[in-house]
Amino acid sequence: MSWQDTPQQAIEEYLEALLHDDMADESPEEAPAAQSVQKEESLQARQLSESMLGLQQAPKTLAEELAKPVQLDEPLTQSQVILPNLKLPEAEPEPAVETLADFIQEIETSQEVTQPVEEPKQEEPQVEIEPQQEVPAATPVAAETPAAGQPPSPPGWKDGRPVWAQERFECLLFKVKGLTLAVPLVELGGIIKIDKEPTPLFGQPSWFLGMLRNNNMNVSMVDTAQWVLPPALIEKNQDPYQLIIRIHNSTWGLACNEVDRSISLEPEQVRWRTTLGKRPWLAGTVIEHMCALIDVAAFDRLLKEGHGHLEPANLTALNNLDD
Amino acid sequence: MSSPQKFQAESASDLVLQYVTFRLAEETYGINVMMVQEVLRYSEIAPVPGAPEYVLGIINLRGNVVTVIDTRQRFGLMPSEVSDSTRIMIIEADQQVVGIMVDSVAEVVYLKQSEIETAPNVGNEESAKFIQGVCNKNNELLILVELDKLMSEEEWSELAAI
Repeated sequence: MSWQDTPQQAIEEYLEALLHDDMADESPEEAPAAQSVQKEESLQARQLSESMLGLQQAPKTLAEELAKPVQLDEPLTQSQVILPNLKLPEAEPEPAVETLADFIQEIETSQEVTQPVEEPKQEEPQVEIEPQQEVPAATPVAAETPAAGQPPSPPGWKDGRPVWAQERFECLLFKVKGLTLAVPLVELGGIIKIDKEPTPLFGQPSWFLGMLRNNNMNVSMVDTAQWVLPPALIEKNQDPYQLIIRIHNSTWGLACNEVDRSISLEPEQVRWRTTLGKRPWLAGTVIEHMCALIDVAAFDRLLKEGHGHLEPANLTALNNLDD
Repeated sequence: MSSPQKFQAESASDLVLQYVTFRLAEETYGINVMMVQEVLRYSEIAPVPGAPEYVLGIINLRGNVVTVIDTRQRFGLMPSEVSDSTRIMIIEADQQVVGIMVDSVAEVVYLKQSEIETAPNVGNEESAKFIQGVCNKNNELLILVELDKLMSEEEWSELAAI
């Protein structure tokens, strides 16, 4: 794959890469902050899985219940969760372990299951967990486990897709430097024709093109390409922006080259993103229309919450396509 | 609250402020009129060896030495040539009197507090802090600048030492 192709080919290749990149989002080039969070989560998952190994002969329903937290971070921790030589964490000082021990104890008591903890092959448990009646019966962990086990849905998402995509929904297709993007009509604030130069503000990042007055509102114009395309593709298409797609209930507007048409989509036609990943703005991709569906609300939040000063897109992996 | 009372309350809270507007790199900026002491035509500025990059030099204002700041440099804008419309605005900020060089000075405008909108806060640059807000006036976007934040405490001290 190479950026030496025609611009259209390059765009198609990029979109294809975007699809794959979304799937394999837990890659090493994840942002440092995200990495640390993942590490923390995987550590928690590992601790939990280690402690729970002794319960592997528990009834199936119990095992399933316990398995949930282990799936906390599937792509990263899969190999870590199934550890060949597991050790029980030392239980005394760590509050987390205590509560975990309580949790295990509660399960053992209630289910009348006595299992080896440190070495599963041994019949006698090597570590006995003292009943600690003064401590409430591990309700915090029991209560938090399901929430901790499953990554919380992003705001505005339900059942793995945005709330506006629970049923059939309408989208507007528009083009940014050759790449087709789709925005759900419910999230569309308006389309503004760029009839004059926006007013730039000094000290702003290059993707902030300036402010444009429209309909008694100052719309902040975003260079969409800098967020959704790698620099190599942006350089190939120098066409000036013609329109702004204004985000619903927001002063942010995404600059685009042309508005295409509106389409109607079934939720199943979209490959929804599975993790927030490096592109919180990406809701999913529609292969049928070769377009990326924008999570407009997430994009808006990204800018409003001050994350906009970060690099628009970590596209390192995509830039390496020409290697 | 009845309507007249509500109206009075709204009027009282909606302060009218005066701003002096000036031009820099084709854009219009505004600073609170209370900060502006006077506006001078461009006169020769004596450079000060070893002064910070944003200092153009000093001028003699009726026997007082006033430091002139390169506003374009401070705002991160490209430098330009001095023209007939170039002005030095003498301002008082952070208890210091300094001059800021601008492309031209336009007018004094009256702005209601409610008309001033917050500017997007996405800038990483230090200069982004100077922007107090934006306001639409005469079909043009006015960028309001907070001169107190034009420089850090250290820089103000540095200026005082010149």
